[in-house]
Amino acid sequence: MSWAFTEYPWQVILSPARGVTPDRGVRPDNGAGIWICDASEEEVAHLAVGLTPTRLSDSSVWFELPGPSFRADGPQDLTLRLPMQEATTILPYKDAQSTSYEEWPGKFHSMLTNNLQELADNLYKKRAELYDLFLEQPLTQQIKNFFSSQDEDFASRALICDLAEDLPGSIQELVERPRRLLQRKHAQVRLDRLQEIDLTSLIDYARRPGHTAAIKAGDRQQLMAVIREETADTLENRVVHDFCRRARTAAMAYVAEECARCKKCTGELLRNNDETVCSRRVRRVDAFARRCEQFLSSPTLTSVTPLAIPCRMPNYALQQNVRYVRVWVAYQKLLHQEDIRDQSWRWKRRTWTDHVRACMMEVMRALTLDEQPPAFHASNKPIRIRKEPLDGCWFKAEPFDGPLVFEKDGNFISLYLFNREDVGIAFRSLGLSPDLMNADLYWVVVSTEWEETRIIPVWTLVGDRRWQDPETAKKLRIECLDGIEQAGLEWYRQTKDAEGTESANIPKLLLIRAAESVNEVHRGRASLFELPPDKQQDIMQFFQRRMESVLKELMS
Amino acid sequence: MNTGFDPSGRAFRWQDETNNLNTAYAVLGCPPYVNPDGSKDQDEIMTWSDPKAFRPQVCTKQFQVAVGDHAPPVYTAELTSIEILWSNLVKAKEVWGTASLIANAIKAHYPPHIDQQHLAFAIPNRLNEDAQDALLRELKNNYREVSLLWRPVAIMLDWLVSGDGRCFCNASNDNTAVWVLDLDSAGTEFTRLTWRNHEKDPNWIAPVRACITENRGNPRYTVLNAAWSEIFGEIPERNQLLHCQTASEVQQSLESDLNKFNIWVSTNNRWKRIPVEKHTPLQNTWQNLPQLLRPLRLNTSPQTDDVILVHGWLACYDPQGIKTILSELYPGTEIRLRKINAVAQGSQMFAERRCNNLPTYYDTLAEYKIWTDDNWKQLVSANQEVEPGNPWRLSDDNIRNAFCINRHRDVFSMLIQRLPCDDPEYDFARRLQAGLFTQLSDEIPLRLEATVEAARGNAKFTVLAADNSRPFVSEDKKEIGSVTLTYAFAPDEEKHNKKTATKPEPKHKGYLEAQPVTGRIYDNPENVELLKLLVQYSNGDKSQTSALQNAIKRYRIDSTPATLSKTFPFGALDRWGWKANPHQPTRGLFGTRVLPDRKASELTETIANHLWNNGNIPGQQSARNLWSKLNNYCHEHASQAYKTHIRTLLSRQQPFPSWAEANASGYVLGDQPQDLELLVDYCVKSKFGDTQQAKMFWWSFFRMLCWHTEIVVDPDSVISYLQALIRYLPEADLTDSFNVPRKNALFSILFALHVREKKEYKGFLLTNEDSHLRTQLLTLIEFNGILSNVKFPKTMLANMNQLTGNFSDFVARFIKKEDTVEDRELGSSIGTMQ
Repeated sequence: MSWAFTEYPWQVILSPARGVTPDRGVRPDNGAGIWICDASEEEVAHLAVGLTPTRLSDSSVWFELPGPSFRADGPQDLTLRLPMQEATTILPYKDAQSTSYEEWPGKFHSMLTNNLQELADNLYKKRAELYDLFLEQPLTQQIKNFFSSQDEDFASRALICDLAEDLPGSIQELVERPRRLLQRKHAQVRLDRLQEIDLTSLIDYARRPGHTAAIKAGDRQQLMAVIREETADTLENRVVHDFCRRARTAAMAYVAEECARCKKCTGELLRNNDETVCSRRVRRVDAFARRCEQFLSSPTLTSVTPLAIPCRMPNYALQQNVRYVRVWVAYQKLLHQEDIRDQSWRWKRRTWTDHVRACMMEVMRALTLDEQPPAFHASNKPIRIRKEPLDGCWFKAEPFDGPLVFEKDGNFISLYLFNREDVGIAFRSLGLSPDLMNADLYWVVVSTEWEETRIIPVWTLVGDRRWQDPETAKKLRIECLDGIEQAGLEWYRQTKDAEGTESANIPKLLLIRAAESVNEVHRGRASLFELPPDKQQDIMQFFQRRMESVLKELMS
Repeated sequence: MNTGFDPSGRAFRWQDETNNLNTAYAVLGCPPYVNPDGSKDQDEIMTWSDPKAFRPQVCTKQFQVAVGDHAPPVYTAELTSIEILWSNLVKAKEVWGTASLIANAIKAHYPPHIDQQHLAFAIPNRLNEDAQDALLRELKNNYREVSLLWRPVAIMLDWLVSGDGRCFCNASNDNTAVWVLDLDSAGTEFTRLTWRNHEKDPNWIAPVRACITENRGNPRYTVLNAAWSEIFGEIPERNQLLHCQTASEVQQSLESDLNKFNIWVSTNNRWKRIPVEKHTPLQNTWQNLPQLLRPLRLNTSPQTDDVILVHGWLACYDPQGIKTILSELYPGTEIRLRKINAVAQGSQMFAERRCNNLPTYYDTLAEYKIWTDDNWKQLVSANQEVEPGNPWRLSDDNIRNAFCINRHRDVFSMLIQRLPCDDPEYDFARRLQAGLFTQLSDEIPLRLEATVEAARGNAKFTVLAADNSRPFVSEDKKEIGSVTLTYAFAPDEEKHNKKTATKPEPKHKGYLEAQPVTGRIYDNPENVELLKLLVQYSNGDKSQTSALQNAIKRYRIDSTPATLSKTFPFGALDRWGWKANPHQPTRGLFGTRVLPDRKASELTETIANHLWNNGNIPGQQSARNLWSKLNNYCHEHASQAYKTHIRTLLSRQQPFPSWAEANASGYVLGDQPQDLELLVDYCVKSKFGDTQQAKMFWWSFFRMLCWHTEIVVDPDSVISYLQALIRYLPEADLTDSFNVPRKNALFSILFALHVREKKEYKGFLLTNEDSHLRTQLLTLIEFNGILSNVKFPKTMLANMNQLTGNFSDFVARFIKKEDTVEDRELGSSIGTMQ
C-alpha cells in the first residue's frame, strides 16, 4: 500500500508515493487530494469524516480535499487518518493559500452557485408547478433553455431575486398588522385604576412603609399591580425581523456583486434609481433591500427583540398562519442558501466542474461536422440534477447525452462526452483506462475507419490566491500545462506497454480555469482556457468556438 | 372515454372510442440514478417516457447475457424493457415490484386524465392471480375504472364484431371452436374458445373461455429470436436491436410498410448504420412452429371446421408464411389473420360494453374443493361460468355451516383444493389458517362465505363466528369476529409473523404429524373442581366423598356405576371418550399439552406427588400395576420422581417390574428430546424386554412420537428400532382378541416415518439405500405378512364414516409415500385414540 498527497488532480498519474508534505499546506482550490494505492476499502473507509472516495482503478483511490469554510464557525482544519500512520494527521486551513471569500473569486462564486441553482430550479420548479414529484425533463432541452435564458438582463438569477419579487407585499402586511398578544407585566398603577395584584405585588405592598393603602401608595398614589399590555414581540415577528435583516444583507451583497460586473453603471447611479443604467433584476433587488431597511425601522419591528441565532423550530403561527407561512418558507430558504453557498465554496472546484460540464454539453448540442448535423443521436437523457449540491456536485453521475454519430464519406465517427466514472466503464472491455488520468471530463472519439481511440482529457481548476498575482499566474499556467502534458504522456506510455489494449491517442489535453476574464494559453498539446463563470453570449461564443475547433480537429 | 390497451407486446398500443390507434414501440425505461454508495435518490423513479434514456451504470450481467458480446456501451438493463417485465410477471418473479414498473410505464405513455372512463388492459392467459391482483391495484392507483381482459378474448371480441366472426358463428355448429394463436403475448399462446348466446341478450354472441390453470406456454424469445435471426441474419450485433435504445425505431420500421430501412448498431463503442431489406420470409421461424406449440401441452387440437385467429406483428410481417404452415398443420381449419390492433380494439369494445353494463363474455372458474369432516366437497364446479366482474358466491348452506373451531386450538384451518393441480407433489391442496386470539374452552360454530372472481384475483374465504363471538386475532393483535383467507397463487408459508397463512399440502406426505393432546382439566371449571375434590380426598378429607362421586359421575359420562366404584376415586384420571360417543375424542383429565392455568397446575402437581408417594406397595404386583397406571394417567404432569424412575428402568435394560411401567414411557416421557433415544436403546438392546411387554414398548414408541413435538428423531435410531422390530416380530406373541399387539406394531412403524418431517430425511425408506428395510417392512404388512389385514382401530371412526381397506394397507401407503389427504385427515385424530 502506498499513498501520496497530490496538489493537482492530474498528478495521480505521475503517482510515485511521495509521503506527507506538510510544509506545502493544502491548496484545495487546485483540486488537491490524497492518492492511495493497493489499500483495502476498510483501510480507506476511515480516512476522514465526509470524504467520498473516487475509485480510479481496481487498486487506486483518490480523495479530493475540501477547502476552508467562509463561515466563522466552519472547520478550521482537516483531520485525516492516513493508512500506516498511527496518529491522525491534521492539516490546518490557515496554511492553505485559499482565496478569501470577500475578494473577487468570492463574488464570482456567488454567480457560479446562482447559475447552477437556476439550472436545477428549472426542473424542480416545474415539478412543484405540476404537482408531479417525478417529472422528467430532457437534458438537452434544459441546457438549451439555460443558455438561451439570458434575456436583456445581464444579472444572474438568484434566490434573492425571487424573494424580492414575492415577499415585499407579505412583509408589508405583517409590519402593518402584526400578530400581537396581551402580555402580563408589573407596573405602578394609580389606586383608582388598580385591578389585579399578584404575589409579587403583594410582597412589594408589604415592603412599603405605612399601615394603610393610601399611605403605602405614597405621594403619587400608586401601587405595584399586574397590567396587561399588547405587544408584537413574538417569535413569529422576531422571525420576520430576522428575515428582513438577512434579506437586506443578501440583497445588498447581490447588488454589489452584479453592479461590479456591469460595465455601464455603478452603485451610486443605482442608488439614484436611474432606470437607464442598470438591470431590472438588480433594481428590484436593490429596492427590496431598501424596503427591508424601512421595515426594520418600522415601529413594529423595532419593538421586537432581535434573534441571537437563527430560528430553526417554528411555532404554530409560523406553520399555520397564512400570513406568516410565506415568510417562514422564505426564511428557511434564505438560511439554507447560506449552507449551499458554503458547501459550494468548500468544494469550489467541483462546482466549477459542473458549470464546465453544462458549457460542454451546450457545445455538443450545437456541434456540426462539415456543416452537417449528427447523423444519429444514440441517446437522450433526462436531466439528473440535485436540488442542492452534494459535496459540491450538482449534477448526478453521467448527465451526458450521446454519443453523437457524424457521417463523413462513409466513415461513422462517434463522439462521446464522459465523466471519470463512466469513461472507465465504457472502455474497460477494450483494455483502456482513461480514468487513471483523473481528468474531470473526457471527449472521446472513435470511428469505424480508425483503429485508434482518440481521447481529450479535460481538467478543471479554480486556482488559489497565488493565481491573483499576474506574474505568478504566468508561471503557474506554464507549470500546469507542463503537468497535464506530462500526465498524458505517462498514461500513453502505460497504455502502450500494456498488452491486449486498443491503441489510444491523446491529440490534445485541456485545462479549463475559472478566471476574471477570457484567456487562452497553449503549450505543446496542452491548452489552458480561462473564462468567467458567466453564461453571457460573448463568453459562451468564445468557448464554443474554441471547443468546436478542438473537436473538429479531433474528428478529422 | 373508454379505452382498450394492448400493453404486453413489443409495442404498447391503445385505442379509444374514436378508433385512433396509438402506439409506443418497444417501450424502454431508464432506471433511477443510484448513488455511488448504493443509496437511491428519493426524487427519482424509472423514466419510461423516453426510449433513448440510458446510462452505462445500469448495465447488468443479465443484459450482457441477453444481448451477447456485442452490447453497446450505452444500453439498458434487463428490467428496463416493458416486454421483459411482462415475461417476468408471467413467470411470477417479484410480482409487486414488476407490476408497479409496468403501471409506471403505462402511465408515462397514457397519463391519467379527467376524460377517461373505463379502461381495459389485455393480459396474457398465463398471468396468475397474484400478478393480476398486483397489476390491478397498481393500475387503480392511476386510473379510476380499470378492468383486465384476457388477450385471446379481446382478439375474439374484435373478430366477432367484424362481420366475418358473426357470420362464422351463426353458420357453425356447437362443436366448432375458435382457436387464437397470439404471437404477441408474453409467451406464444394458443387458446381454445367457444361461444354461446348470452343469457341476458340472445343477440350477443359471447365468447366462452375455459379455465386455464396450467402454467403452460413457451418463452417468448423462442419465436422472437428465431424471427430476429432471419430478419437480421447478416448482422452479428442484431441482439442489440431487441432492447437497446434503437429498439423502438427498429420495431416501428418492422411494422411499417417500408421495404428498406436503416438500423444503428455499435461494436466496441463504434456506431454504424446498416441498411436492411425487409422482405425476408420467416421460413425457419414458421417451420419451427410445431416445436414452439408443443410445450403448450394441448389436450385437443384444432379440428376441421374450426377457425384459427392469428395475431401478432410477426404474422403481419409474413402473412403468407404463417397461413401456409398452419394450413399444413391443421388441414381443414379456416385461418384468419387479425390486424395488429386487434387486442387494443377488442379491449376497447370490452371497456365500452362494461361501461354501459352490456354483456361481454363468459369466463370459466377453476374447480375448487373443500375438505369437510371426512371427504372433499365441491365448492366451485369445474365448468362454472361467470361474467367478468360478477363473482361466484357460495350458497350451499351445508358447506357454509360445516365448520367450527374446536376447543383448545390456537389456530383454525381448512383445506382447499384447486383443480387441476400444477404440482401435486408440493401443492396438492392448501391449508388456509387463521390465528385465534386465545385457546377456546367451548366449540364455536362458524359460517363460511366464499367468493371467486375470474380474471380478478384469488379465491377469498371469509370465516365468521356464527355466535357473535370474536375468536380470531387481527394483525394488530385485537379480537375480531371474522377473518378473510385468500387462496393465493403462491402460498405464504414463509410469513410466520402473519396471523393468516396458506400452507401447501402435498398429495403424498409420507408421515403423520405429532398431535399433542390437551387434558380435560382445561375444558371447564367443573373439571378443576373435580380435581380439587380429588386432592381433598387424597389428603384424607373424606367429608366431600359423595360430592366427589357425583362429580366423577357427571364427568365420566361413559362409565357405568360399577366401573366407577371399582376404580374410585383415581379412575377419574383415566382416558375416556370413544365408547361414550364415537365423535368424542378420547382424552383423560390430563394430557401432553400444558396450558397456563395456575390453579389447575397446583392441583395437578399435588395429585401427581400424592400418586407417586402413595400406593406403591412392594411385593404386590397388582398394586404396583395400579400405582404405575395412576401415575401414567398424569401424562405430562406426572411427578419428576416418577419420570426419573421410568428413565432409570429404561437405562437398566431389564424387563420392567409391571406392565403399567412398561407403558409408562409412552405416557409420561417425551418432554425431553433424548427420551426416544433411551427407549429405542432399551428396545434394541433388551429385545423389547419381556415377551408380554413387547407390545407395550411398541405402543410407547408410537405414543412418544405422536404426543410430543419436542422429540428429536434420529434416523439411525429409528432404523435400528425397525430392524429390531422386524427381527422380533416372527417370534413375538401376537395373540390377542382385539389384535392390539399387531396394531401397536403398525402404529410404531407408522410413526417411525415421522423422520421424514425433516427436509434432509424426506426420502427415508424411499431411497435405494433403504430399499432392503422397506421391502422387509412391506413384506410384514402386505400380502400375508404377520401384520397384514389388521382392521382399523374403532376410534378412527371419529374422523371417517365409511372405512375402506384396512389399517395395514393404510400404514403401507405411508411407507410407500402413497398416502392421500384422506389418509392424513383420518390419522389426524390418532392423538386422541385409545
